[in-house]
Amino acid sequence: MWLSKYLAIAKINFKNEFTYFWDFLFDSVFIAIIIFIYSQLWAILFSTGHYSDISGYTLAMLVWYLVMTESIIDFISYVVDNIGDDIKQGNIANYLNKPYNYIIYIYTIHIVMGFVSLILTFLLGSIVAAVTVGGFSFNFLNIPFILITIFLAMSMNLLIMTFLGLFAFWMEDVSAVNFIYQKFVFIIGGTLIPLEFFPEWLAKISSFLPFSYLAYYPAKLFINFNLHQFLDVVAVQILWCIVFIFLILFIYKKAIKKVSINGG
Amino acid sequence: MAVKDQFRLLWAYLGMSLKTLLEYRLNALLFIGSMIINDLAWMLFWLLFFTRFPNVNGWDFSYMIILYAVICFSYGLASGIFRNANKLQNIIANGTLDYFLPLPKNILYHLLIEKSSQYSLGDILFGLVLAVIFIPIYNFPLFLILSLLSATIIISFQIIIGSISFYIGNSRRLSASLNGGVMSLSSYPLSIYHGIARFIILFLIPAGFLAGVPVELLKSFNLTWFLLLTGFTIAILLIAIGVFYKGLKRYESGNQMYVRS
Amino acid sequence: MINMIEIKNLKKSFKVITKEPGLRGYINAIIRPKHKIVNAVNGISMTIKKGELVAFIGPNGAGKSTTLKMLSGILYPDSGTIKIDGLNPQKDRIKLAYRMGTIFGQKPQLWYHLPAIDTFYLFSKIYDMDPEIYKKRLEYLIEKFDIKEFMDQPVRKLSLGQRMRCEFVLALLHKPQILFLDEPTIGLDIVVKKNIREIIKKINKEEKVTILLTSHDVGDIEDVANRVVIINRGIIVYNGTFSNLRKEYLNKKKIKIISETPVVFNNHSATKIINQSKYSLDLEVDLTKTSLKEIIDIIMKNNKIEDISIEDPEIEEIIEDIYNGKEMKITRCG
Repeated sequence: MWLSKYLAIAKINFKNEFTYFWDFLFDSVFIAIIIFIYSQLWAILFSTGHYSDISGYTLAMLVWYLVMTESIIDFISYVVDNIGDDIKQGNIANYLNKPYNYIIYIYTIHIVMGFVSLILTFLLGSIVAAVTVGGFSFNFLNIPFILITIFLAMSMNLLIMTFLGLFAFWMEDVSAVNFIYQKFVFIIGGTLIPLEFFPEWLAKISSFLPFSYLAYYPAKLFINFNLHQFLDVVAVQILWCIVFIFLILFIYKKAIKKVSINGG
Repeated sequence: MAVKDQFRLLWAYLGMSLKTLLEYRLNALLFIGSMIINDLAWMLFWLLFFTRFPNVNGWDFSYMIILYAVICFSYGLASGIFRNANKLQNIIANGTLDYFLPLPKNILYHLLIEKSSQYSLGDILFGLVLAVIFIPIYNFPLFLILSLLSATIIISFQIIIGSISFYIGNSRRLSASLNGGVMSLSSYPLSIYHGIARFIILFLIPAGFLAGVPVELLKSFNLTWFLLLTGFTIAILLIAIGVFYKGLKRYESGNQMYVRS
Repeated sequence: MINMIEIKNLKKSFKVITKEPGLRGYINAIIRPKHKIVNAVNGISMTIKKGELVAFIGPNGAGKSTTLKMLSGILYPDSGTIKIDGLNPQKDRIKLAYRMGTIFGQKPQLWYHLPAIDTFYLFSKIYDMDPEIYKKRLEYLIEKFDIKEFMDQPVRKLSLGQRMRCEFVLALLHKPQILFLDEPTIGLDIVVKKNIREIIKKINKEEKVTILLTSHDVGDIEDVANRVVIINRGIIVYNGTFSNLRKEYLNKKKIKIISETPVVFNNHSATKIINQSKYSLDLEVDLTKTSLKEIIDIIMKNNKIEDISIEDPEIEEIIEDIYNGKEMKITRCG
């Protein structure tokens, strides 16, 4: 029953956002430019180095890798700022004693927006990729598996951003936190360049952190599917989701304490 | 409208922004710090990239250092002094523009200087430090001049892109995407682009003149390209001012379309 | 007396895209947008003399804000003329800006995180005030508005009332001759509202500032303005004093009776029962259809009256009737 309530909320917000159909499209323009840049960068790299592949990635695979990572990551991270606003403006007052409700509310809205953004970005990105480097061998039967790992990756991302957003109870301005987080995801998360390209030590550190499961692993599975790896990745993603749910609840309870002491 | 008055106004606004920044001291450090972290992260990225791929088409890590010195410093200047250029589309779409119209100052100038980016000091510091370390001292004045030209191009481009809001009504995300896209295009060596793309990136979008050309000039000075750069800067600035005021006229004549359901 | 503001046959219309609800609506809006022309301001003429305090009221969408925006130089009219202090807002924008002050109730001009005094200083630079003159003027206003106590605290820490007082100081800093106040008391509680209204009256009298104020709150008008202009659907429907408004449009009265015996009353074509219980009756009498005496006679004949009171309708009702076009008289200022 509560599910239908949240789906209804998601539907309204989705409709609200769909009014800005162009917004989603325009956001993707930026991504398309990024993909274009990297297609040129990799092309030069491959031609001067006379590579046929680097660490198992062909030129086409590299560019499509980027298409996938950007499609997953791009889903607009206004989440952190939105939560920050909710807290600053006191909208969160309604949810103070119902942390589950607030989390589910945020989650439902943004996961739906995320998937729309994913589709639009992927479409636009694919066009750029197809035009610049052509296609690569992809088994369409793998799609359901890919979707699962993408869904988990986006859920992880959402949960982490919700967690960060809650720091607005203590900080005047959470946007800097959001900013740094995005950078971490970009560089260590293997968003721009697959982790194989980095030295051993960095790849090792990355494997302990959640960042690489947000984009790198789903994209890698997209490029080069492997059932065994898929199961490993999914397991870790679920684990991180659970960890962050606990962290969110923990912070939330702390926040409520603070609010009741300070009177909002 | 004396030039001195304009400077006094700018000074007053910078004072306000600085005071606002200092009001939350910890936050200020966070903003500046996070920008520096960001820039450092990119440097790390390129360092790792070139460790893995030592020589790519003639450009290497030292090239990227100079590129980042120029871009960070000029972007920091632009967003530190004329931050609202980047937000112009929001100012128009939100109606905040109305705040400036009854005030006795040149509208474009006034709205541009009204806010300063809290992150800008980070970029300025980073770019400056890189320049001091890696650019030979005899080239330093050239670095400053090129950065000023580059900053002007950035602001001019942002004004043009922001002015789209005069025509579409809400170009917040489109303008943000284009602004971001151009900065990204500028952050990579010009030589990766070729053919029509290169032409577009160089002349139509100012990404090439923004960073690529200054870097080349710092590596080996060429009078022709320097004059081209200066001419381009003046041209795009004039175009920007023209586009803005034309759009403003449209705004005030109120042919704006509103969507109502 | 000189005319401070002269508006002649002002017109402004907007093109509005209409969108049907639902998915089809979205698609149609993108492919084939339908337009509708809205005449926001449809021929307004009025003059405001120097030193007047004029209230501008009307329902939402009546054209108040659009008119005010045209006066303050934010929008250009489609046709008609505006002269403020002899200047044209379109052609002499900057010159006029020095003589004009604005307060938009919903958009504060004070910087939120800093003390008011900082914004005062900023505005002294915006208006190119001589530092000495600024200092003296500021001292004068601080005393006048009694803000010395809190002007050094960040604005976000101030109460709404304190904030509004600072906003007024800000607006008056450069000694404007005209002040445009758009919803200055919106969102304020009753005590603060009263405070602000006193301030507005004081400024008008002592600073000799011509004030044009818009509001939804009729109380603002009643307490403050010497003249009221009512605008609805883009045209002026009343332009005169408040007392005239009451007199001219007073066509209803309320009768409240308390009876010793159970109330007996048959509703009339000229009456409307507002409230009725066993021993009391609230009645609204339409004076265009009958006289007060007639109705009272009827009531007294059939009831043993314990208490009776006769009231004028609320000013809101009068104005609402005007909005609804029940009376379309236009009167000049008395």
